[in-house]
This record gives sequence, structure tokens and C-alpha cells, in this order.
Amino acid sequence: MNVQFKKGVLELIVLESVRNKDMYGYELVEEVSKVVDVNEGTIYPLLKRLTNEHYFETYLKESTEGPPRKYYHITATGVLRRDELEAGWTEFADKVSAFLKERQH
Amino acid sequence: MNKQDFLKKLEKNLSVLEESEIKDILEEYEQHIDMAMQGGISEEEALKEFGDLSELTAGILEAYHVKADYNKDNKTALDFDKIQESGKKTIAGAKKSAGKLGQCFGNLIMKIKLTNQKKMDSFKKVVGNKKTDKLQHEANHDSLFYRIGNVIKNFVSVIWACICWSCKTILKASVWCIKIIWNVFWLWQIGVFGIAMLFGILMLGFMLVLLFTGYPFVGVSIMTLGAIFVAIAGVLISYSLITSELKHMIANKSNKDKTITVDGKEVEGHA
Repeated sequence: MNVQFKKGVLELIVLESVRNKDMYGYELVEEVSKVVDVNEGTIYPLLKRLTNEHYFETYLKESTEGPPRKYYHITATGVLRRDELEAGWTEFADKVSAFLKERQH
Repeated sequence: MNKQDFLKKLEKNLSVLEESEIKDILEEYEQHIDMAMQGGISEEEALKEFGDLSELTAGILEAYHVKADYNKDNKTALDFDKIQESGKKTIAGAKKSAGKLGQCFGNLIMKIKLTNQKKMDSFKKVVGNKKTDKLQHEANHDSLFYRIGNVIKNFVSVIWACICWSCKTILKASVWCIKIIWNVFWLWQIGVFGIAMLFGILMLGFMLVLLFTGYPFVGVSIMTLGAIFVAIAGVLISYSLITSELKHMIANKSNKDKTITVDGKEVEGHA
């Protein structure tokens, strides 16, 4: 996928991933990587930014496999932000799709 | 590069952030690498997944609204130690320059203030060691500004004195002139009334001679007598209105006229 496309939708994908279930960093990277091919160097700074902007809250949870893990939990503001991004993306995608379809005919 | 080197470099690059934040980031990244390795990936591969360290640092700093100043073309890694060192050098240089500038400015002010070269040299020496208020006071008294101030002050004093003296003189002259005019006028009146009185006495004499020879000049004689009294009154009033200085002068004049000689010596007479 184009790098600019990835950057545009990565925030939406991350917010959507955490919306239904709190996740820790590695788990979130795995989830996002299913959709877009991004490295950890892109995901972690984004998680930090979303946390600083209060779209995420973090908490530590004990793990049986090692040290406590830092989990990300979406806030109400984060949900609103996710809805806003989804609406923007849908509108954008619909318009582009319509344009492409129109051109094909 | 192993995990420790990676984390060490990352810590160094993020040194602009608070320690607690750096610790939080490093713990998370370390945990991620450990989990990736547990998943069967080698340490080197796990580190590669983070991509370029400079880009990673820039991304993290951007999340804190910190300008990473990442130079993508040169692929220059951020070195905050160098930035800090550079900043310290700049501040030290600025302080030094400010100090020199302040010193130069101070010297310039002193040079302007001190006109006496000898005093200025001694003042400079004292400034080099320790300022004393006494010398500064002396220097200030010899300063050009102080001298100019004194000249202006003296000039104004002289001008003011001249103005005062002129006003007083004019006032005195005016008073003196008024007194002269006043006294001359009343002396003139005394003369007029005196002549009138003498003329009245002469006329009264004629009237009395004619009255005693049988002429009916009783009424005219009484009128002449009244005129004489009026003239006498005029002389007295005019004399009372002349100034005391003139009276005193007249009195002295009359006393001198009355000096007598006793046993060959002049003795002032008393009226």
C-alpha cells in the first residue's frame, strides 16, 4: 500500500483496533499489521501521540509471561475521534470509488 | 547493534524528554523486542522492525510536539549532547560578550564624566580593585557636567542679582522722584500760602488804618483776617505734608544756623 495512504488511515485503524478491546503494544502492532504493513517504528510513536492527545489511556497489567504489560484503553474522546475519522474516510473512499467507476464507464 | 545499544541510543536521542517518559518508552520498546524474540524472531530482526532509529526518534518527539530537526537527506542522527554543549557554549559566549559590552559601556560613561585625566586614571585603578565612594565623589566634583552645572548656576545667580539690583534701583529712584515732586509741590504751596498770608497782613493793615479814619471797612477787614488765617492754615498743612526726611534736613539746617561759640569752641545750639 502507498505510504501516504497508510499514514492517512493508520490512526483510524489503531483507534478501531482498541475500541472493542484493550491491547498492549506488541498485540496492537500484530493487529494493525493484519491490515497494513507497518513497522513498530511507526506504530509506537503514534500510540504515544494518541495517548498524549487523550484518545488513549494506559495502565499496567501483570503478565504470566514476563514483566507487566502496558495496555491501551480508548477514551470517550478517542471514540469520537474514531467516528470522525471513519466518516471522513468513508466519504473520501466513496467519492474516489464513484469517480473511478464513472471513469470506467 | 544489539538491544542494549539500541535502547542506549534511543535514550540518548530522547534525552530532551522527562526521565519518567524516557523510562516508560524504553520499557515498552524493550518489552516489545523481548516478545518479538519469544515469537521466534531474532534480536537483529526485531530491531530492524523499528526501522531507522533517527526516524523513530523523530516520530516519538513529534508526539510530544518537540521538533526533532531530523535531516533526512544527510541521515544525520540527533545528538542532543552536542546540542546541549552547543547551547551551553552559546550561553557562555553571550554572557561573556554581555559582560564585555557592559564593561565597555561603563568605561565610556566614566570617560565622558571624568574630564580630569589624573583623576580618571586613579579612578580606573580603583575600579580595577574596589570602588570607593570618596574617590567617586571627588571625581564627580571634577567632572565636566559638574563644572558646566556650576557655571550655569553662577551665571543664573549673577543674572538674578542684576535683575534684583535693577529693580531695587528703579524702585528707589522712582520713590525718590515721587518724594522730590511731592516735596517741591508742598514747598510751592507753603510759598504761595506764605505770600498770601503776608499780602493778607498788609491788606489788613491798610483796612485797619482806613477803618480807624472813618471808612466802613469792618466787613472787609474781617474777611482779610479770615484770609490770613486760611493762608496760615495752608502753610501749616503744606508743611505737615512734606516728608520727614526733608523736615529732618530743614531742622538740621536750622540747628546749624543756631550754633554758637563758647570760649572759642563751636557749641551746637538748641531751639
